[in-house]
Amino acid sequence: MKNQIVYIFLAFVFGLTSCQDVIDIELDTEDNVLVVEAELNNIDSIQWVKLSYTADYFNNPDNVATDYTREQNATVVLLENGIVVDTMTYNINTFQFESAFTGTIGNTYQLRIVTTDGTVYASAEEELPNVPPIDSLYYIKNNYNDPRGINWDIMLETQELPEEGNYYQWKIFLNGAYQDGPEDLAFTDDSWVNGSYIEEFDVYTIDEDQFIENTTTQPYIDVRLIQMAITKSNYEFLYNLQTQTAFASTPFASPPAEIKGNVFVEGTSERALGMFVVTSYDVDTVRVFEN
Amino acid sequence: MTSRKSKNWNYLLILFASLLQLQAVAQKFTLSGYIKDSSSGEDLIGATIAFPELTTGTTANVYGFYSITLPAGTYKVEYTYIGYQKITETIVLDKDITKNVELALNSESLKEVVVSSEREDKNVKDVQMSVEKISMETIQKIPQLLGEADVVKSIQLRPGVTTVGEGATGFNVRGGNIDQNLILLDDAPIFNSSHLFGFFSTFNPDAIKSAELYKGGIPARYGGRLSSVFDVRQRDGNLKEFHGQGGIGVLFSRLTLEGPIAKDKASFLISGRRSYADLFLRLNPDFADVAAYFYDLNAKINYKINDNNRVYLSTYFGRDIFGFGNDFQTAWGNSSVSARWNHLFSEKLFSNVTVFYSNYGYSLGAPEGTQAFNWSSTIENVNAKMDFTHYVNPSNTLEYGFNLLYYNFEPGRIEGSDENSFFNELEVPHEHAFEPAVYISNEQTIGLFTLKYGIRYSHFFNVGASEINLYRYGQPTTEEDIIGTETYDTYENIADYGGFEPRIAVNYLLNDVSSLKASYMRTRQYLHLVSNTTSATPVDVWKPAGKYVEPATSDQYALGYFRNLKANTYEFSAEAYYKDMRNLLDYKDGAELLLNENVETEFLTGNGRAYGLELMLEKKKGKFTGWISYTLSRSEMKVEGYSVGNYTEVEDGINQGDWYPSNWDKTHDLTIVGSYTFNEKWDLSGTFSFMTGRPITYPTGYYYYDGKIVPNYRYRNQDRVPTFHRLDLSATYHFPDKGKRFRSSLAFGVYNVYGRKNPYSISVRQEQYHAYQAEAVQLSIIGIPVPSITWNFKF
Repeated sequence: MKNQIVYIFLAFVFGLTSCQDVIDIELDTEDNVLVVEAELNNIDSIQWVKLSYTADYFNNPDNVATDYTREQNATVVLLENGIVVDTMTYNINTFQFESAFTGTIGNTYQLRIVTTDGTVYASAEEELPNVPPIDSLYYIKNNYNDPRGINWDIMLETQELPEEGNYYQWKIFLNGAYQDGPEDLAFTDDSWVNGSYIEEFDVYTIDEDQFIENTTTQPYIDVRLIQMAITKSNYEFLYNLQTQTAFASTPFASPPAEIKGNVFVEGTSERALGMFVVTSYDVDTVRVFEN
Repeated sequence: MTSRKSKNWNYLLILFASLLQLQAVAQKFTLSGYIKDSSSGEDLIGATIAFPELTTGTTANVYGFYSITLPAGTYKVEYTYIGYQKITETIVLDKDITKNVELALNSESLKEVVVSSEREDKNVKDVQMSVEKISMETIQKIPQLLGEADVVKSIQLRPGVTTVGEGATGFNVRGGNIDQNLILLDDAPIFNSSHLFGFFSTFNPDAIKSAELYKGGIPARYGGRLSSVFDVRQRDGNLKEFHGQGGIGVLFSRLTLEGPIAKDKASFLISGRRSYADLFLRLNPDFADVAAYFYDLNAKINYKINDNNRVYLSTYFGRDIFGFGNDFQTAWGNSSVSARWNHLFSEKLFSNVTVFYSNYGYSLGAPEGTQAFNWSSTIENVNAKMDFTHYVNPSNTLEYGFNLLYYNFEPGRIEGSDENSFFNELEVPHEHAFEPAVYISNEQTIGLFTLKYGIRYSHFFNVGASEINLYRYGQPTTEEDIIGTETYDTYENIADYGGFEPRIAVNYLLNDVSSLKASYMRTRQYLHLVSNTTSATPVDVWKPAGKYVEPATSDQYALGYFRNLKANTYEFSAEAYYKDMRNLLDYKDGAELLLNENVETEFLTGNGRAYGLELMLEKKKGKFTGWISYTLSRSEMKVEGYSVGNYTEVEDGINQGDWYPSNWDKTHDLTIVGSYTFNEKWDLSGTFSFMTGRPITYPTGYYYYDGKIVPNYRYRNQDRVPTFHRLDLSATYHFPDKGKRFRSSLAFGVYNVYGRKNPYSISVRQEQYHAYQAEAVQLSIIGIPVPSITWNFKF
């Protein structure tokens, strides 16, 4: 949260004076690096792992589903408390390895991946954290006399868990569409709020343009919020993901750097990119009208 | 048996004791006093006292005091200061004589532009090298953003001084980071020299008497930073009559009032500025709740008790304030108070006692509601010091003194600021430290050589009360490796560091108009600014040396050739330097530095090196004045990794432990500054800057994660942003004063005349309307011509 607070006011001031232009630059190319995007939770019937490789920065495919370089022939094994519980299978329709296994809060989970070139990767062992339920989800319409103008704050009420060291992420869906832009990342640790009852927490803001865009076919937006308990390594990953994507264009940007995840080449400190997310979650919805 | 340390001290004592042997046996007497401006009573720093028959002389110190001891005799003595009428007198030196002199402004020089406030040939004859000084008159003429004269922005136009970009806080000197500059206002350190994130400096030019930047060969009386000392002195206030000056500009207005409290005995000066962009913003209903302004206040009183005693009290207070109604508010700024006492123990022994308090702090917060919070941070600094200048004989001037600094660091505290707030209290532990130092140096003339040699010893004690983390491997690896804490009582020593800092400078006079100079200095820095952003932010905090953080040290060698031409109308200099820096802080990738109770786990330590050549040609007299400066330089960092036990996260270091360019490395830096006085009504000034773009890191690839395009990076700072260049122009119209006391002028200016979009940074991101496509974006802080008009007045 402190990351967001600082950047909000720094970005405001420089927004008044600075300008941004899209330009062409020439970049060096690099070898492919394995990227792991994986999630295991205690609710869904399907757990999934997506494996891909990095590509030249501006070599973006027109069709991500079909043209993106994926690893399809790897062996992906899921372990619970150090014991293999499933070997995941590749689904050619979803482009991901899948398992019908369901996680349990408090148990530890690990991924082992053997890619087609024989390299063995292993994730860190991650404990599936407990998530508090969402007690209430509602919205407030604001009309500010400042650059924020009219907006709708999505408000959350929930009980933060009593022990220290809990980490949370929120994912927002507007009319079923996941808000996946870098600026939509929402996460925090409990260092400022440990054990507090969280009231009137504006977890997401819909601005006027977004509202108009999402109400062309009906006079409201259906908002779905997923409250996720995440691990510390996932929190650190998200912190860096936000720094390297959402905040990279400001004068106060941190040095560009590789985002370190929790998947390693086995027996070394060399890492794959991406993250094996181990999470539990709760969901709630609210319908947002103009007034 | 004698230890090495005590042997060193013995050599030192012998060295300085030998000076006493240099005094001639013949009976001698001392001529001493103060040199002041006859109209205001202000001290004339650096005024010259010359004895033509003896080809010797001296200069007034920063308090306008001079002293020279000569054999008994009758001498012609000349008191001179550029722009002032020379006073020549015959002195019968048959006893010690105190002579205070007031020089009057030269009426001719009022018409002729003179841009120096120092001795004409100081550039050649003074032993000090690597020093930059711009007169306040010149600073007033240099075109700046929105027409506001700026001391810090002006000094950035000198060779060896750069910034990471427009609007960036602070400045970089000879390849050093911004935290390596000791910025002093009347001896009190200023921890953040910027308003509005770096667009303007904290120094109100109307309140400033002098500003001097030491880039190398720093005198032994200064310490605490690696790269430079920027010594800014406030004006004392007019001792003769009441005056005022000020200005109304596009962004802010200024007003300064000064005058005698008791004529020729005591005076005051009070000066303030406030920006008012927020007042205009509020006229627009969409910005009615926006607060965005800054202000500062300078005040000074000085009182001459008698010829031997004078006291000064000066203060500074400044704040930047931003906010959105009751939802978000922030403020930050410096404050300082200095009290000084000048005392003459004798005609030969001048002393200055200074006590100051200095503070930098910031706060962020939301005042109401369940998310109400207040986040604050402070660094405080209290200092007591004594400095002595002993005018031993015409060939030797001894300086010595000591000081004791106390620091209180409050790196961050957050708490709920409303009874309904769900925020808890969290406080990063305070730190406390003492920094005592002693120094001695001597400036000695031997024939054509002038030497200045000295040594400083400083020590730093990080003390309790505090709880210090203990780590599994003895090094601050990760939070998970914390195995306990160690408790220290109030003032109990946690860690201490110290060392000698030798300073040596030599000037060999080739002839009356040219000289060769060389210098060496070692400096030690016990504080680090904890910041890993390209431009420092107001919420960065300072970290003292302690159990897990060592002080940084630096050795700098410089060699220079100095030549004045056409009766000191032109000054030319060429300086080469090499700087070796150790124990510089860098940070792990993705370091979380704010409100981090275990911030030491984010640190990496590295070394730096910087070297370069600075060329400067300056025209100091005539209708046209200005300079051309060029710097060729390199500034690099090297951060090797380490691994211990199971901890391997940083084993490769940064860029595999190889040298890489620092963020502020700029190979070429060319600056042209010119000012032309057409007549008594019109001045025209211009500045052109051209420099290599700063280093930057481009991605080597991308990947998709959670619907986002994520850039991947390998090596830091391997590319550069395009070249920076900018032209600024200004013209000033002086209204005819018709003999009246009230005078005013209108300054018209255009900053960035041809609207160059100088790249501050280039970053990559996913396209806003095509989420799976990437694009590169250039950020320009000021990409358009910015016109300005400012009305300045004096009475």
